[in-house]
Amino acid sequence: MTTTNPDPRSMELGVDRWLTDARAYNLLWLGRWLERAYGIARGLLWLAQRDAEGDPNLDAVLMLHTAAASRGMSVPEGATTLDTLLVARNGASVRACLESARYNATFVAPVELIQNLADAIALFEEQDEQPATLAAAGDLLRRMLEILDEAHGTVEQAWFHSEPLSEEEVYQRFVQQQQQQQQQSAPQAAGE
Amino acid sequence: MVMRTVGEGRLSEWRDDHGRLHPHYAGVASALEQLGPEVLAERWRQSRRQVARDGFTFYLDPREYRTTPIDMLPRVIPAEHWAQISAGVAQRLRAINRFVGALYGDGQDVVPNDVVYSCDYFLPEAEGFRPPSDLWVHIYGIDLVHLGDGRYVILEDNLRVPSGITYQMKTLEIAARQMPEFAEGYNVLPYDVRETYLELFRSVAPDAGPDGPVAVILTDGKFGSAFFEHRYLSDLLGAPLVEGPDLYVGHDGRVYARTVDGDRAVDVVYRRIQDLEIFVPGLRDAYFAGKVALINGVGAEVADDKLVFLWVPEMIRRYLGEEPILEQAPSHNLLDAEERRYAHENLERLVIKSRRGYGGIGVYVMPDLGEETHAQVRALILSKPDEFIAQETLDFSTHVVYDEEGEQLEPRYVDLRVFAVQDGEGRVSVFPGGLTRVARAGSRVTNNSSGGLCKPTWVLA
Repeated sequence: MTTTNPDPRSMELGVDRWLTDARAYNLLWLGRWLERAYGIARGLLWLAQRDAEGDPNLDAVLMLHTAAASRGMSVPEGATTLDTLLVARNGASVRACLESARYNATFVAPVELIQNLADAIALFEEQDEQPATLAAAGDLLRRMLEILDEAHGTVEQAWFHSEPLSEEEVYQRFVQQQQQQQQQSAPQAAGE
Repeated sequence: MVMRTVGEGRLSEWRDDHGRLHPHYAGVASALEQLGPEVLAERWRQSRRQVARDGFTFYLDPREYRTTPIDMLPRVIPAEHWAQISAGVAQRLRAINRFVGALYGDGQDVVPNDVVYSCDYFLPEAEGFRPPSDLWVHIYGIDLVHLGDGRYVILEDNLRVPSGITYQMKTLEIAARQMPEFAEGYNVLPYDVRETYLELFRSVAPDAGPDGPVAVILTDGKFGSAFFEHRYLSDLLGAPLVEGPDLYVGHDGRVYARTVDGDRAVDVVYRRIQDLEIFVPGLRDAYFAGKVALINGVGAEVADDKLVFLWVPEMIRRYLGEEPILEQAPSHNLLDAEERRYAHENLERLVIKSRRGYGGIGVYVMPDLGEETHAQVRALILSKPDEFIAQETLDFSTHVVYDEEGEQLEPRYVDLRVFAVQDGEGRVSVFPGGLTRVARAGSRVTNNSSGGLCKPTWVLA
């Protein structure tokens, strides 16, 4: 069968990729949602680890409620704190944060990042039942963080220099920009 | 042995009237049999996974992230059928373009004035305006159904922001990746959406400079039902995706995009929204002043009206001096007293459509509806006859979708949306195949907005 069209990729964030209001807005919120997901996940993982180690001073219930409160969430009647932090459709659970991040990613991110996020969300969707214990939540979150680490690699590759510039290189770049700006403004100033 | 089909659909494209498989499906059926239910179930599961991973969405409700349901069994269109379809679509596009030009130019007498002036999309401001190369219609979508024996009939024309070309591409891509066995032995007509669209952009903005025009895709945002298409086209064409507030019209009348690095002049706006003035004040005037090219141009929407549709065959005769190649569904103008009476007397076997409807909204397939809805629709068209048309209900073709759980094939109604592009030189390209939309079980409404599936569509070379 004859192929039709190349797979489109949004990896080419080159000079012609404009940073418009809409892109900036979606980039900002993509970052904020991911940071929230990371924050809750790291907190829960720490808690799961202390719990597994049998820390006698650990009051897991109090800490879960504190974590929820710090996110502006209250635990609804009949729900567990773990559910509220992990999977609830409340705009601030790990899963809800990932789903919101995916909406922003559809506007602004390379398709590989959308795939990473879909993989992370699928971890939650494919659970027969949601984790009821800290240990189970920890297992799930570790797998999720592995996927998000891949997403970090995607972002790094797409949006940032893979090798950091030296101080000398940064200075040289600055000087070049200054010279270019002076050259551009010179004819205009002469005309005035 | 060929896989079991539950309840043979009428006018099946899969089998003939005697229950025999149509010859052009022999290869596909053979692959189905050889792979067996377990492999097929796994491939179908993989296809859903790929749809989800790639963000292939079509939202029915902006609050709900919804992936596009697809069925990977291809629809195969024989070459002789396609020759007729593509010629008919190109002919229709040319005639509509001439009609719109006449309407806003020297005047037209094909469509009655009461029909034109009662059309929401008629734009008095466009009178006297002439777009470059007299090109009003750039991208055109047309909905067809197959009545069997190669007889394709048009249900409606889409000239505002016809969507679906990337759904056609993506469905084909996923099916080709997950089910390569289906394609073995088939020679399918290729097409190149990217090059065709880029050529269109270049041809409508010929003065853009040696590097070619700067084109953007204007979207209504990430919660729009077909946002996937906007994003996909942006990636495919390398055209930045912008929202209304990203654009403005400068003092020199040109259109600019605001970016962090400064304002960038824009030559072509491929708009994926209808209400230009709400999203970008002044954009329409910039277009009339020749400062920017709009795709589709302003004014062509008038031929999207379901009532204007009735006169397209006459447009073909008048402006092209040809007989229409494709038939269209017999339709009735409810502004006419005789036809209105006919519609009332035969309401239970008609389809009632809103003139300005799209995506299956405002479509009442009366034979499929209950008595209560009949009464409501009757009252509706009595009180607002200028807002609806009546169309004869057609018994159109079914195809089969694979049901993994039942390990069987299930017949469903299908239609075909075909896309065509007309560039600044007047060349018309019709993309082979189109988007096959599959109705939900028990329904004849095939629009994606009504929850239907997409199916890969092949045209045999």
